[in-house]
Amino acid sequence: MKILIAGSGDTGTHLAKMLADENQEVILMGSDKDHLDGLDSLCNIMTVEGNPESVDDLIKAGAGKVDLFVAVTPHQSVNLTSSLLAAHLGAGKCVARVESCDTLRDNISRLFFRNGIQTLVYPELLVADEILTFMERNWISKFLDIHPGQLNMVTVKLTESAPVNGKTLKQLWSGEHNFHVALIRRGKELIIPHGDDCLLHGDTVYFVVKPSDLMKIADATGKRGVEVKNIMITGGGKIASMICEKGVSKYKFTVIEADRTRARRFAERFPEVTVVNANPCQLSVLREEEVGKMDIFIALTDSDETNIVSCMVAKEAGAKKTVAQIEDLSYITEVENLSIDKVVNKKLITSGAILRQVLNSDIKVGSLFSLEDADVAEIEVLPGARIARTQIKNLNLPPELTLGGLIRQGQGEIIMGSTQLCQGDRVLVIFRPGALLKVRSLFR
Amino acid sequence: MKVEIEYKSVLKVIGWLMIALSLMMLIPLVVEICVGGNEWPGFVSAISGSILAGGILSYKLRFHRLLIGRREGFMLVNLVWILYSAFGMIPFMMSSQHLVISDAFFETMSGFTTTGATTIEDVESLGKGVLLWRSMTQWIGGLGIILFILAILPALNENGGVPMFNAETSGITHEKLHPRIRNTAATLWTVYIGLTSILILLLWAGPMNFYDSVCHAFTTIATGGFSTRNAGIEYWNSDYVYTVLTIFMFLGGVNFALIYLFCKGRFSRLLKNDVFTAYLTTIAVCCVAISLSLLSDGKTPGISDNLVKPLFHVVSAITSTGFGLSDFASWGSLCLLITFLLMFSGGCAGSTSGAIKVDRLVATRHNLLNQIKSSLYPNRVYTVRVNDGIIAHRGLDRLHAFILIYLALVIAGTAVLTAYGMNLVDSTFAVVSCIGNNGLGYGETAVSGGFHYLADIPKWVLSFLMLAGRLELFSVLVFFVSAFWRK
Repeated sequence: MKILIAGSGDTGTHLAKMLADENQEVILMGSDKDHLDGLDSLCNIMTVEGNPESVDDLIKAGAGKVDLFVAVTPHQSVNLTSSLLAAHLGAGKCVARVESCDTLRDNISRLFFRNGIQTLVYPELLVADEILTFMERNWISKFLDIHPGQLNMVTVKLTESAPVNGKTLKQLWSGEHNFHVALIRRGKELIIPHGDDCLLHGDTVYFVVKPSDLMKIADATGKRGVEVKNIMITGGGKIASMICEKGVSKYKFTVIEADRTRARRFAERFPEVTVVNANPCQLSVLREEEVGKMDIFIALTDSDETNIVSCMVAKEAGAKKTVAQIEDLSYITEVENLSIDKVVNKKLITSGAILRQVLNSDIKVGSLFSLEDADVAEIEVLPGARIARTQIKNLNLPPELTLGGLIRQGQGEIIMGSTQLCQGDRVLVIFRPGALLKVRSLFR
Repeated sequence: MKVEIEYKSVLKVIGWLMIALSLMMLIPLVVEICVGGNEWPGFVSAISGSILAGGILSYKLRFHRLLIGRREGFMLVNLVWILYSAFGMIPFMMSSQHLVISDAFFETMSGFTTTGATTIEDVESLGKGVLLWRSMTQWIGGLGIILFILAILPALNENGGVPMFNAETSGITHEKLHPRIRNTAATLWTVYIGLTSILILLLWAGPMNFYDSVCHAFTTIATGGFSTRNAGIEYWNSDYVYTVLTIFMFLGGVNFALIYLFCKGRFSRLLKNDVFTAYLTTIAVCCVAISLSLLSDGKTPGISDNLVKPLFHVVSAITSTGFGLSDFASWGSLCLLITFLLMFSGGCAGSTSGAIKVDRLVATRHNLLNQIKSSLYPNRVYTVRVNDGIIAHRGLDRLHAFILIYLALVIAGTAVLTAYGMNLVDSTFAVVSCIGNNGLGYGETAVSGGFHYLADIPKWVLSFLMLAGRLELFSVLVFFVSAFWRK
């Protein structure tokens, strides 16, 4: 698939690398020549210097011949304009990143859809939603509603006291088979588990479960949520505003913002929120605002390091749960070992949306979520697909992917070895980076 | 360096405004002639004077292109109010009462600024035309002379209407209902005329005759407080009249833009408006306090004495109407204090009432609380909001300056009055009453025409304070800083 990415910032660069790893033809368009040259010599992509709003530059980069056009510059208007132009020039599909909720309103997004922009991505909104979900179910570090209301995928980190510690999956399944263990991350290693694999203290386990059985996982892992009332957020940006907007009737927020104007604007927008104009790194400030009494501490500043450190300080002081926004992907797996309960990342959310479009070209993908080291997709079984030929255990699935559950006639089910897929089932597939083509060939 | 002020533009507009004044004075002249009164010469000379001055100015400057900036706006507004009073006082000077110039100017300024303090002891002896004119001055001044002119003179909308509108309109922020200033003015006047008409009919349905109904409707909705009777409202001694007037004084103290939105069906705006709720709460609390204090003084309980009259008095004081009740002097010092405070408060901004205005007090209360809280948490960011609008730091500075200057003027005015031998309480009361455009009297000024007994200098000082209070201080005080005249 030929993909043109406009915008060579953090997200654009990440997408280009990720898609190149998935064996796609990637052209990256940007304005910073040095940065592009560096990437050109490192990665298996092509780079073009140009302005995405210029028709000539778009034609030069081949926008008319690409299968997918992705606009992720920092400006919404540039993204929308360039996508509209690319669609008009003949790009197959277009994805644009936007910066405001009103663009996503049904009647507005339909306007863009009619003009060739298939997907509008607003990463900040999705991050805010993810954090709001965490406030509700804060014993789960990652909660994915795969087929809304039918199948969930939840991530839990096993503590020392978890009842499942030391048990093999076979032992777990000896009773009722209520949930499926799809993945285990142990340190930096990612395991696609089999019956003989053991769950250990410190593992991050990905369960697939029906919503009705969610509490069984809480029992099995010994995790309990905390009642949330007081929340402290550092960094008064867009994500913080959206969280406050949606949660202000339910929770009590304290927002710490270092920039004076931004702090004042935040206070003006949310009269119910306590806004503090101070540097969130200062321990004295956090203490003064009683960080220890917070149920959740959310670090959303632009600096990963500040977020990590302030989360650790908050935890030390007594905050019950901590959430950190970390944009540098290489930090994420490291942070797993620290006492941070949840990590959010905007880039992963954007790449999920892009990957979905890449896959969607010849197979049907419902939803797709990118996690830090795996992707989760809900894919429909088409007539004649290889995956539906025999029972799962006889399929000889490649080691990079695993199946977690399926939705048959609108009902969620856990997948077992004896399951035989048939046409129209929607299957939950978990695959590692780089396995995109294998997934595609399975479902074709 | 001297600032170039466009005097010609100012004079040109003044010319138009003088012609407008003469047209307004035609109404009382016609009434006076129709009822066969003998006070028409006053109107004739005033009209001919103003039409002559206006005619000459606008004829001479008919080709001059209007250029009205901020300075010209301030100058115009002040000149208009002063000249209207100067020409408007002629009928009083030539009436049967033959007021001297200081009394007549005070009376007219008190009219246009909707103060309602009077120097005429025996108003009943005046002719129907002069009394109608006296009420009309308040009605015209209620929403503002400039606003009136803006609604009827399209030429002013071309250039410079906005600086004049801003110089005259009360409040912290000036709400525009429509993008064009003329439409805003017209809308406000529609509401105003509508309310006045309803009030005329309601009063007429009661014990008042048509003439008194019209005069009282004019002075009530403008929160002015002139009456056509020596005994004031007590002449009718009717709970019906008290109640109707209370309701319309109350409405006169509400932001007219809010009344307009209410009439258009946006009811929720009213209850969400913190200024309106604060206004309502203040009235309720003060009324209950006065009622209770009256009951504890052993007065006989009764709806009329313990509810209707205290409520009438409280609303009359807070809206700066200043219809007096003779009982008030005997209600005790708690009631005096409450009245004092209410006179400082005034109604909502954008209404016809005077004084500091509830909006400013609400904002100040927020800010004071914030300042106290920020001693505990110096890093926290606090905002001051009134009706969901944020008042920025500059706005707060201006607001505090307003209140301080207001207090300073009260002190200065009191100093002048005490220097002329008035006792402290009475003189403070008179000054607060005049600067707040209220018109209530206490002690020496409580009797009908009480302000007549003041010496000349205090009368001029009080006239100035009335104007300063009506134009919300800054528009008047700009002339006293050298920066106005020099760069």
